[in-house]
Amino acid sequence: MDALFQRLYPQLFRYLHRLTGSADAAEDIAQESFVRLLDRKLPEADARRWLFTVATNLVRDGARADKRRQRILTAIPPVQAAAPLPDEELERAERIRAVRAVLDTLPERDRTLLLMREEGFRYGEIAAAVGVAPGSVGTLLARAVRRFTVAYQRREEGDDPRE
Amino acid sequence: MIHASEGTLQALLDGELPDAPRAELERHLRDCAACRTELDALRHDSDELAEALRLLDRPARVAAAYRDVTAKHRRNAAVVALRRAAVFLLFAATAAAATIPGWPLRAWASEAWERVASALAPERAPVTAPVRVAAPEPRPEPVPTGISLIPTGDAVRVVIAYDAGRPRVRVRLHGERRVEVRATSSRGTPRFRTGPDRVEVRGKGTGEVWITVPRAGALTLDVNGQTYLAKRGDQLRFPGPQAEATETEILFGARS
Repeated sequence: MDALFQRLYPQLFRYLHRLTGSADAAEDIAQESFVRLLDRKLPEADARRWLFTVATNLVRDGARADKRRQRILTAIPPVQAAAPLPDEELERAERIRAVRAVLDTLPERDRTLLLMREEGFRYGEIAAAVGVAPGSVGTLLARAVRRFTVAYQRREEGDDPRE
Repeated sequence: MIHASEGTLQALLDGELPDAPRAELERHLRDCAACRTELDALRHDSDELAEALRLLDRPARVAAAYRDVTAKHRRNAAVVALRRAAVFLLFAATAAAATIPGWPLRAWASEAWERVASALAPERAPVTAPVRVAAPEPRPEPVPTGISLIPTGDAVRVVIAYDAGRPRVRVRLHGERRVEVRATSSRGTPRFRTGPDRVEVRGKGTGEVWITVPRAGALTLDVNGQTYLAKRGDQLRFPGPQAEATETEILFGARS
C-alpha cells in the first residue's frame, strides 16, 4: 500500500486540485478515496482507474451539496492581501486566476474530460468515469479543448465581458 | 475529398486510433492541407491547455496524507469490529433467550436482532418473522327452527325441499301424538308451511331436518321430490341408504 500511495496520491491530488480549485477539498477527497480503496482491496492494476472514478463522483456529489448551501449562505467579501505582491508574482497570480475562472465556466463533464486526459487516462477509462460512449470522447475532448482556449485567450486579451 | 472529423484528429493526437484507421488517416493527411491545419490547431490548443493547467499545481503533502489515511482506516476497522461484536452478543443473547420459555424480553431481543442484521447487511434478503395464519373461525352452527302439529288422522306427510341437494333427515319416534319438524338451512332460515296432517319445509342451500312422529300412525316423506315410506306401524323402515338406524330413529341423507 505504501508504494501505491506514494505513486498515486500526488497524481490524484493534482487532478482534484485542478478540478476543484481548492487544495483543502483536494486533500479531503483524495484521502477519502484512498480510505475506501483500503476497504476494497482491489488489484493494483485496477486501483488507479477506480480511485479517480470514486474521487470524481465525490467531487460531483460535493458540488451538488455546495450549490444547495450557496442558496442560503450570504456572500463573503474577498479578503484583501495585506501587502502588494511583486509584479512577476502578481502577473502569475492573475494568470492562475484566469485559468481557474475559465475552468469553472466549463461544464462539469468537459472539465472532467480534459483533466482525466491530462492525467493520461485512455478514452475507454474516461468514457466510463464520465458516463459517455467511448467513441464520442475524441469529439467531446476536441470541443472542450477549443472552448477552454478560446475563453482563456479572451481573458488574456481583455475581451471577456465578464472581466 | 472527405475530411477527417475533429474527433478522429483528436484521437490521432491522443494515440487512441487503432492501427488501420491511423494508417489511413496519415495517408490522408499527406494530401490534405486543411486537415493538417486542423490537426496543428488541435495540437496547439492542447499544449496551451497543458501549460495553463500546470500553473495551478502545487505540491502534495504525501507523508501527512498517508498518516491521515492509515489512521482513518484503522478507526473505520475498529468501528466495524465493534459493530460485529455487538451483533454477535445480541445474537448470543437472542439464542439464549429463545431457550427460556416465557422470558419477557424474548420477543424484543428477536426483533432487535432482525433490525441490526438487516441494517448491517442490506443486500441480504430481509428476514421476516414466520407468518402465523390464524385458524379460521368456526362457522356458528345454525339454530334449528321448527313447528309442531297434532295430526287429525293416522298418516302424516312431511315434504322437504332444499335447493342445493338432499338434506340430512333424522326421523325419530316418540310416544306423543304431536308431530314435530325442526330444520336448519345453510342459507337463511327454513320456511315452514302446514296443512291438514302435512308439513312442508323449504330451505336454501343444504341443511338438516329433524322429524319426530308418534309411534302410532304412518309417515310419508318427500325429500326433494322423491317419496320415501318411512314408517308403518311402530317400526321405522326406510328403503334407501341409511347413515344410521335404530328401531326408533333413522338418519339418512346426502352426507353423513
